[in-house]
Amino acid sequence: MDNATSSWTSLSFRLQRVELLFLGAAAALYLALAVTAVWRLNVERTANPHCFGQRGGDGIDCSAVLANTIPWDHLAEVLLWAALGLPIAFGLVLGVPLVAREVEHQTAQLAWSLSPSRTRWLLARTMPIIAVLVLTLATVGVAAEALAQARAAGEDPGFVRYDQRGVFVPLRGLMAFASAMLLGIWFGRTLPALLAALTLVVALLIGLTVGLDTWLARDAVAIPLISEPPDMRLVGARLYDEVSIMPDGTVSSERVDGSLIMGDGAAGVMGLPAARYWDWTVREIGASIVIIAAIWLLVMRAVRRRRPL
Amino acid sequence: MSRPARNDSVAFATLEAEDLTKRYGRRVWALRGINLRIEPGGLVALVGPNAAGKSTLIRSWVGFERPTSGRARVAGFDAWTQRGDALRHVGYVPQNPTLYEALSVEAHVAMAAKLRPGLDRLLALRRLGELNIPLAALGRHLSGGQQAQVVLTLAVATRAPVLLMDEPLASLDPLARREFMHLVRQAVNETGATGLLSSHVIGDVAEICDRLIVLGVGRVLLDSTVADALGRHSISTSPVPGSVADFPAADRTTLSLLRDRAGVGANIRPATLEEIVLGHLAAGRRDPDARAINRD
Repeated sequence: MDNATSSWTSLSFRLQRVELLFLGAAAALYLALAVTAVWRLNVERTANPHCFGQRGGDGIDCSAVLANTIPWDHLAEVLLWAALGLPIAFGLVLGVPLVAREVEHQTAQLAWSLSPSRTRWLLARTMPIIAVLVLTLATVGVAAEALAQARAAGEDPGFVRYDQRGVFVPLRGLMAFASAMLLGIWFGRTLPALLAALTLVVALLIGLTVGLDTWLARDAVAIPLISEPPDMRLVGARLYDEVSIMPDGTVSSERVDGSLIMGDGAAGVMGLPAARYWDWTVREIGASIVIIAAIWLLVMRAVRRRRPL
Repeated sequence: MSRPARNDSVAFATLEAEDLTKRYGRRVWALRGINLRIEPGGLVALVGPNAAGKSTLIRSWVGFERPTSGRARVAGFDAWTQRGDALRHVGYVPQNPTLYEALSVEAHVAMAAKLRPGLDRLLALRRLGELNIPLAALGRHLSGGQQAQVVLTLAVATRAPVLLMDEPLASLDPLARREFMHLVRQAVNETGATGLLSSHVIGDVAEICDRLIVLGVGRVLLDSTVADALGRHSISTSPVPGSVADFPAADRTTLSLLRDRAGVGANIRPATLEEIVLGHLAAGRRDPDARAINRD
């Protein structure tokens, strides 16, 4: 790394040291809690394998074991929900001030008058921050994945908390970051941009989730409900409506007063087995990359047209 | 003032404005049909009152303002649509030169070298040394004057053929102003760059500039060499029909600015540069179109 590159990296980090400290502290706390929860859940499961999974205890009293496990399971649940909020928080906190503060503090006019290319300036300025963001959120994503695996007790977690773990955590962080940066450039003021970006990012993520889920629901298949033995196809599956599966294989979801008309059919549910999780993952990664790229193009355009104060 | 000796490393570049108009929102006109051509070499003063459009004009040449209509060109490149090419010919000192608070002076030089290929780091470091500005000092620890000097040094070190300075003296004390002006003149002489310096205080820039452009209510009211302006204007201490304009003197009497020195008599004397500027500004206000702009 030459002096100039290191000066840019140093500048980027120094200008956002408060935000980076917040990010580092939050990620470290998350990681510490996640490691503890995963460790405790795994210890209980390894010591008492008969009390977990679909075996239901095999007649052995598992109440003491489950009592020990519940607090850690609750912690894991909370941490998985936190993995939904952290990418948004990190993306907003790092993305909004990146250009907005330069405009506010009038340092943008120095940089933009020196650099024949604002795009080049933006890349030099953002890359170190993006690297830290992705690295941190990837760690959170891996930790959240481990939490989901530990809670699933050896089964495939499939679609359970599907958007709160793994690759989706850094992807959503990048989406929030790019959106936040865009609004930071448009507003040129940190606080209003932060509020607007929060609204935009939440709307964007809800829209993305609903859109993809609707798309996913089209691929749902009818799964008959079997009570004995426990139906392993439902573990980690994405489930939609209850349906009646007719003897000829057709599916009916007709209802009267909210109750499903069963007729001669068997009880079933429309859903996607856990095995389809990776199909869906590829779809969401693709959609997220397209959205991030589109927002990034808007960011480039906005920064080229932005008038410094 | 003699034309400065040129340094081989500095190319020539012309500044042009062609029917340049800038409107903010729907009603506020900053520039209205500016036509200017500034040939390479020398130091040009761009003077006018607050809200005359000086900053907008300079920022148009830096590519910070998108013209509502018309064009701003640097070295033949459109400053908005060909900003990258135009900026390579420009060094810029903004109205409130601000450094990164958390970055040292030396890091600013390194950063500037990264941003502007060809920036003369040695020249920058040498000048900063001459100015006794500590290289290790953080931006937040420098005074406003020192920050302005660092930004000017970076602008000079770009070796750009055009130096655009947007009221850099506004936040400086009188001594710092004098030192800054000395630096500007020295930089223009040493590098052969064209300097354009805006100010609303004519006294700040009159001594060292070769050419004077008076801007008022978004229009060019006077464009002349300093020598020509001084040679072609006179002041009457009593109202004279056909004068450029009447304007109040400091002692509350009324002065008339005359466009030539014909008819010099008992009440007529050579005009100072400040009086020439004031007279043309008063004439600009009297202009019906100008009043319309003011009203907007």
